[in-house]
Amino acid sequence: MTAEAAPRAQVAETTLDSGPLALVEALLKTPATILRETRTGYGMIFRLSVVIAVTTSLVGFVMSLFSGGLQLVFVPLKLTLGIFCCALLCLPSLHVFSCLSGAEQRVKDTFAALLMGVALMGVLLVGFAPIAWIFSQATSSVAMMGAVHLAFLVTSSLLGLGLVNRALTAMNRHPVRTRLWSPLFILVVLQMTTTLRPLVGPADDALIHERSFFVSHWASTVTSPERELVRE
Amino acid sequence: MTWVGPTALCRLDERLLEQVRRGDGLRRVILSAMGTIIVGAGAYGLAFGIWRAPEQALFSAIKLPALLLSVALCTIGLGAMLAMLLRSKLSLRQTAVCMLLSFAVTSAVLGAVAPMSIALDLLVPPSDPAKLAASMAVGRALLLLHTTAVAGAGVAGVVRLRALLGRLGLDHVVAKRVLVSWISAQFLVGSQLSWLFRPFFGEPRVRPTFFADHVLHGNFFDAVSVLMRSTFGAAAPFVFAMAALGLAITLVTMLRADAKDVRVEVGTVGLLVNGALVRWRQIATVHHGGAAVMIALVADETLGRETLRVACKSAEVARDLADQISAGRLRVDAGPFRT
Repeated sequence: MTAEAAPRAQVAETTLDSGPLALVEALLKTPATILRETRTGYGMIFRLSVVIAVTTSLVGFVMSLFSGGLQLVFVPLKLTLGIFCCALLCLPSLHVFSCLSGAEQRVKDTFAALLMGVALMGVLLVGFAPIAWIFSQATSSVAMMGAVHLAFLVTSSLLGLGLVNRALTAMNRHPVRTRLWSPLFILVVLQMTTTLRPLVGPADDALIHERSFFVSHWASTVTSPERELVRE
Repeated sequence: MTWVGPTALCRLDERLLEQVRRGDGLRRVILSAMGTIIVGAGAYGLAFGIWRAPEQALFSAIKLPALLLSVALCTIGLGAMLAMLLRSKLSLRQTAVCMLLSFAVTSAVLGAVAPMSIALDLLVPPSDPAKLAASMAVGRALLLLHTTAVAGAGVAGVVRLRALLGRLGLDHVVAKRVLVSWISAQFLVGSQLSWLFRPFFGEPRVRPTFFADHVLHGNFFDAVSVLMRSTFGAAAPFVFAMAALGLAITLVTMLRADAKDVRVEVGTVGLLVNGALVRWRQIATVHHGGAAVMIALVADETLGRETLRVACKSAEVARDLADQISAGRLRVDAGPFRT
């Protein structure tokens, strides 16, 4: 908060407090403190994983309130596992793609940057959760709720991917380009939401469904005669 | 505890701003803002419903402040996160105060025009189900008036919020981005909540009611979609897609961080940028294009990179300046983990 047109004051190096909320605050305000901590061991990676698990479980719980029942247990579990799977699936491509643009960091540092982005995505999804809850209580349309959650997921992912890019750039001498990789990550996240279906709508008996591409799944949801949730 | 009056909230008194800046005594400001919202929006709620029936006026007087407070409640968490992410340094409590002050200004304006609106409601022909066509014509005109009043008060609230963020010391680019992100979230929540809280005005043929029948059936965007289909027919999906695209482009444009125009002087240990020293190691990249030099600063604790734009007299001067800065940068070694 400085005078207009003057360059931003360089913020003094800060240290990260212990406690989950301190980590969340650092993700939003001073992610460089997290970056420094990742160099000292695996503790920060574990803490970031805990933040991801807690936030995605919370978001999954809010998502499941639309349909209730068994979904209250299944959706938080599926969403948490799904997000971790996405992160692990996309890690090799992120590391290789960043190296192609001249990055020099280790795999562990790439993983830390990716987890920072995913954790920020989870935190932002928690911020969107009250809005999603309002919509979920006022509509019975599965397609509508799916669209709301997708919009929030994509918005949070974009902001999270921005942090991944900034974290990787801060680790290197040259800016790291992740523009090619970012759409791949979003593609994997969108496909994961289809593979782990139903995240929105009532639970069914099948744990694993037949394979389906996410675009065709969305099309079938929008045109399905059972797109309205039956509320008791 | 001293009450902060609606006029002080509208003026954004220096004492009030100092409290918000320091983060002290914010509870008092929050309670005062909530009081202004309850009284001001409540008064306009009366104006909204009084034409239909006294019961509708009472219901709307409860619902309009409840709507504004609910929107604030639902968006404060997300707003604080976005504010931190966009480098505003506002805390959760400061975000809450800023949002509530904006709604308080809107409510104060609504409360100020409420007597006029109430008088107008009482002076026009009353709602009469027996003369439905005539009543509907009057009702539509009054609804347009009330909608215009609410929109005008909303604009006043946004303008004061913009001024508040500026006077709190936020950089104007940061303030713009924070404002746009907050308004987007509030629009999304407000549209759905106002749908849930309907009716505010009431129709001559429908009995006064607190909530509409089947209140949880459908949503705001369903209603917009039905209206678009009836207005545009088969072209409705295309119009909707164009509107969504236009909105998305506008949002992205407004949220984009532009380069900051500055004047620089080359020194021995770094650059003097508008009088402030930026050391060589704080400069990440420098390049020139046409008669301008673009300087990207090294990321700070936010990992955000600020870009400065120096306008020069000619392309030669710009190239010369870029070369001088590059030479200065080469004197220091910027290693990995530069933050």
